[in-house]
Amino acid sequence: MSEPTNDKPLLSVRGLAVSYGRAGQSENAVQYLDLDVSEGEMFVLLGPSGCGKTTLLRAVAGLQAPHSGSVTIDGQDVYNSKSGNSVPPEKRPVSMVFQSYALWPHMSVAENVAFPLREGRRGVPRDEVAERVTEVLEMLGLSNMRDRPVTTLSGGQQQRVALARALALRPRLLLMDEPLSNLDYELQVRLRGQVKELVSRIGVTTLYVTHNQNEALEMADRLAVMDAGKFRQIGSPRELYHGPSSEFVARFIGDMNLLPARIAEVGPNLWVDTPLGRLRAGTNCIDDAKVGQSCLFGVRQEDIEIGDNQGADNIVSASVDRATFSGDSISYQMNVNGTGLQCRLHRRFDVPPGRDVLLRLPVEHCLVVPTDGQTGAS
Amino acid sequence: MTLGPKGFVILLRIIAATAVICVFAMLAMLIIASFSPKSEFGAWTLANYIDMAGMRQLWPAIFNTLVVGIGTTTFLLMFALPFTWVLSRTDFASKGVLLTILTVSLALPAFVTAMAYVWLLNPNSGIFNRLLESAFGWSRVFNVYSLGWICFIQALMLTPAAVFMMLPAFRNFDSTLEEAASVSGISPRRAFFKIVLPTLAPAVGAVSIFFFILAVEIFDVVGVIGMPGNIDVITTLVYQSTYTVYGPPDYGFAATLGMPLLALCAIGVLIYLWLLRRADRYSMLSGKNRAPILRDLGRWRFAVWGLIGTWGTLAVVLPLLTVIWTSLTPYLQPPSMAALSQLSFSSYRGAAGLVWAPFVNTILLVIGTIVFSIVWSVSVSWLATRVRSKIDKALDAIVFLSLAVPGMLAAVAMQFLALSAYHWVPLLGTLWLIIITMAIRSLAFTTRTLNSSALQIHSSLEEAAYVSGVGRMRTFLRIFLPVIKPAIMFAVLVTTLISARELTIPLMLYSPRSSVISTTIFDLQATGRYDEAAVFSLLIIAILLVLALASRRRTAPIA
Repeated sequence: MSEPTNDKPLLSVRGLAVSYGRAGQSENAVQYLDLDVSEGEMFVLLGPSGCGKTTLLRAVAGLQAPHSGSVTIDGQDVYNSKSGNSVPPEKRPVSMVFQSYALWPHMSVAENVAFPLREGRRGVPRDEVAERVTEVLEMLGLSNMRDRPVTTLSGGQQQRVALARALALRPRLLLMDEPLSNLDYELQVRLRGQVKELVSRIGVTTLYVTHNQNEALEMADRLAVMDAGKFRQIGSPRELYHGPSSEFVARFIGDMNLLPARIAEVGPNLWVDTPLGRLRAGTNCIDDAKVGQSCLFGVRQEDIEIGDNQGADNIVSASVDRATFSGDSISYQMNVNGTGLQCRLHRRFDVPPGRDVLLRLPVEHCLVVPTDGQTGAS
Repeated sequence: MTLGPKGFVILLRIIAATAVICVFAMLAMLIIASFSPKSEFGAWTLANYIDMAGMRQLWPAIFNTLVVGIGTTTFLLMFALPFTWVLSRTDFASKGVLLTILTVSLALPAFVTAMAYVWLLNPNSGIFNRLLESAFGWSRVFNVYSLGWICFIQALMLTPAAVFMMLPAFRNFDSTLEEAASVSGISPRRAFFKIVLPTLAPAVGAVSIFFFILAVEIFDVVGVIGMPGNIDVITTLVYQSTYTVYGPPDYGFAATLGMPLLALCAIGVLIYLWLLRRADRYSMLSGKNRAPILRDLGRWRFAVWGLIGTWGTLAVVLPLLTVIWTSLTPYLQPPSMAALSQLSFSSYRGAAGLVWAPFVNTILLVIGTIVFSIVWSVSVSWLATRVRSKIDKALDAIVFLSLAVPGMLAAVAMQFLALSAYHWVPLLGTLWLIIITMAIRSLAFTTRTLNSSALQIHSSLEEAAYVSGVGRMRTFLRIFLPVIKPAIMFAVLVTTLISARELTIPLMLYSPRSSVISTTIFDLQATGRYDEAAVFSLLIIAILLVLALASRRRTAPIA
């Protein structure tokens, strides 16, 4: 559905493997990955720490030497283990925003932006430098602090300088390594929108690394969920949210209840047996599911509703074990015949612990997901 | 210049390799020399070792060397520990005064202080002894020619360095450890002995070992006091076997005599490294350091003032006044009306005639040492902290090994090398030989200083330059070096201070055309021209004072 539409992707990675330590001896941090990012796309790598997402990004930048595979950026072969070709980072058409910002502490804001333009090898005409610096500082609202030493700026301002420095080069590919993770939460949320808007306005192709699922869902045109050096699933935010192809992805994106289940009936209606009873699922994420096959039944906390119609599908009777008030909503730990179920309800459903309630698990939001170890639908 | 990543690494490795080759050549030459008869290269013999074993002075000298090491360190801690404690952990009001006195004392080279004490306390003509004799009729009260005075004078001179070395550990000591003890109901006294001391012990131990090594290898004091007083230590035996007054120079035998010292220093360095690791492990524990709790000194502040006064008088005021007085009088004599009438600047005129060459050579020596030392150590540090392959770590480790080679033995080895290679590389007797030897000796310190600074700076600063198209050389010059500039400046200042007042290495290697101020002073003193020696001492003190005060400003944020 959201496979790259251009004939030639801007970034193309084939069979890329990166290992720390001597090749072949230690476990690969990145294991033989293929990836295509098309022109103008915002592609997010999402995964827990240590999953290899930053390693992949650094290999694309040229900061980390892979031991096999190939990387092509804008038609230029920048790494190829077969031909032994490896272009150093300074000659790749990229720029990068670091998690630590990596601003040069002995330079001012404007100098940080101008230094790569003036001293770099990207062929920026001399008379254009001042113009570009002014333009990019204005774009990021930094004009009034252009001569300030970067060490005197706040975290948010430093982040913008780092972004300005990267954009001033007009890279073909912009690499961002957890650029917002050092900011406090509110600023993070505000900047997500701003960065996304800015990057798509400029139209620069972006590879973006984060461990924050909300950030990934909000910013990505497409995203890849990574685990242990491999892609677990690649797709649009909606595809991954609604159709996780594995237990790992289902657990990683959104607060999902996952219950062990067995398939009871396939066909137009998919029925599974769960500890809560026999339930119907609207989405099947398993290739050629067979009756009797074990699987996971998933429903997100926020999708569960208070039920009123006794006879309808997927109604379960539960008792409230614990309620946690958090302002706009209330999180409940429910008990259904000894099985725990978490749900988050609007604050108007304020039920004290011990009370029995009817819950509806809406069929259209119920998933059947393969347990890890089985293959999912791709 | 456009260098790819590989080309740049190769360039720096070539630079670093020249340093490593020098270190290796030095070690190899020392060993080869010890098996060479007289100063002949490559004729293998055990004769030197047999001669050494049969030498009457050998065992007393080894014993005396140990006494000097232990005695100096003990006296040193008696001053340095209280000073460090006062500066870091108390509310003492005049910390600035103490720091200034400590810094100013760096301007007195140890051999100058030793000379001043000879002039004051030698049993026959010492100014102080003569004063006591004329006032009370007591003769020969003090005798400077003793192991005790050697240890004490060395301790006086090493005190500031020891304080500056211990201060960070004391200052970074996490006072929440003490707070945790006090809220758990432990008395401050018990907390001090059971928590503070054990935590700081590895750091204090490491510093003690470091100064033990320094105390047994520096020649300044034993050269001025031990040799005329017939007190043998290993370094004086080494010196005497190379000095023509005592016979033809025999660098082979000198190297052999140095072997016990090399072994002693090597063991010391190993213990030092082991303790340093322990100290690091402790300091890793404290995540967020809080400002230390400053103890109220109360009445103890009078004791502190007493200690500062004693040390300041003995280490700075007394030697300085003695040097000034000696420079103005034609021969050693206590202050009196008669002496006052003889005061003159005639020795200044005499010294002025000698000053030009040593003065220029000293400046060239300092500049040369800094250039070699910094170019080598920035290369080694960049490789060891940025590339970090096995090769680069090995380069770094080998350079650090040079710490175990005492300055005097380094000089013997380099002299032997220069003698053996004289027909190919005429380095013998030149300032170049002294500069290279000094630079090798300084590398252990400068690479440590730069490494720790480079490690604190995340390599993403340089990576950010690479990914934005800036080449390797330019990133190195415009990002890496400016960012570690404070550490480089500190290394430059310390190297300047050390090389300007260094006596041992120039004394072993100089020829008339490469004499420096320190060797000139030493020769004037040895030939009894005390007044001119005093004038030259004042010159070097003036130069060092400027440097020391400059370093005080540099280190002010640290200290």
